[in-house]
Amino acid sequence: MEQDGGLAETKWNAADVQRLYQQHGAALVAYARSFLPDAAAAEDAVHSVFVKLLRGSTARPALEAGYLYRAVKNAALNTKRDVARETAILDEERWFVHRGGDLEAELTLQKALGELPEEQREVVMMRIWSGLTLEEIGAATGVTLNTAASRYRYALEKLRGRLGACAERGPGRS
Amino acid sequence: MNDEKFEHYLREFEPKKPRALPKLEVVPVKWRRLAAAAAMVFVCGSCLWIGLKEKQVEKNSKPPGAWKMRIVLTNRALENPESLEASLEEQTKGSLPRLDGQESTLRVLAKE
Repeated sequence: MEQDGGLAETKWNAADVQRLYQQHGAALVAYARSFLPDAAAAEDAVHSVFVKLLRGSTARPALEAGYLYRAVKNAALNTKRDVARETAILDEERWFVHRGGDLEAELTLQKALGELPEEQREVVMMRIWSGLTLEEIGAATGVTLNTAASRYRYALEKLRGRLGACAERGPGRS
Repeated sequence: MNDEKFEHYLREFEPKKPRALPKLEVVPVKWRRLAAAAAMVFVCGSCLWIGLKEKQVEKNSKPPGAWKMRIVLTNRALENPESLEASLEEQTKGSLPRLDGQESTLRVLAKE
C-alpha cells in the first residue's frame, strides 16, 4: 500500500502515466469540474498535469493518486484564477453518467458534490471514484486517518440527504 | 439506506471519460544517450582533426632540412665569414631593396 505522499527519486515512464490516466483520469476530470464549470477547461487542467508527467519534469511520488489530486486541484485553481470567473454549475453539462440513465440523479449528484466543502468533496471523490483507502486519503491530504474518516462520513451524510430519494426511487421513476 | 449500499449506489455514477491524452514524442532514454555519445564522438573527432591539420600546416610551412641549413651556415660563419658574407649578399641582391645605386630606396626616400 502507498503510505508516503513525499517525492521519491524514481522517474515516470509513459506506460505508467497512461495507466494512471486510465485509472484516475475520469475521476480527476470530475474533480476538476467541481472547481471549473467549463468541461474543456477541466480536461485541460487534468491534461496539463499528465503532460508534465510525460515530459518527465516532475519526480515520481510514492503516493501517485494523492499527488495527482493535489496537482489537478492546483492546476484547476490556477485556471480558475486566470479566467477570473465564478460561474454556477450548468445543469446541462454532465460530469457523471449514471449507469441506469437517471439524468436527474446525475445532476443532483453534481450539484451536491459542488456544494460540499472542498476537503469533504476531495475525500469522497478519492474514495468512491479513485478507490483509495481512508489511510491513503489521509496520507495524500496530510490528515490523520480519523480526520479523513470523519470527513468522509460527513460527505456521505450530505450526499445521502440530497440523493437518498433518487437512490430509493431508482432511475426513470420520478 | 446504509453506508455500504449508498457507496454502491454512488459507484453507479461514472465520471465521464475524458479525451485521450495528447501524444507526446517521448524520446527513449536509450536514444538520448546514443545521441549524446554520437555528439561527443563528433566533437572529439573534430578537435583531433583540427589539431592534426594545424600540425600539418605548421610542418609544411618550414622548409625541409631548415635546421641542417642553419648548422651549415653557422659553421661557415665561424670558418670563413667573408665567403659567407659574399654568398649572402649574392643571394639577397634580387630580394632586398638596394641601398647603393642611383635609384636606391634610401636615395628616393631621402629626396622626398
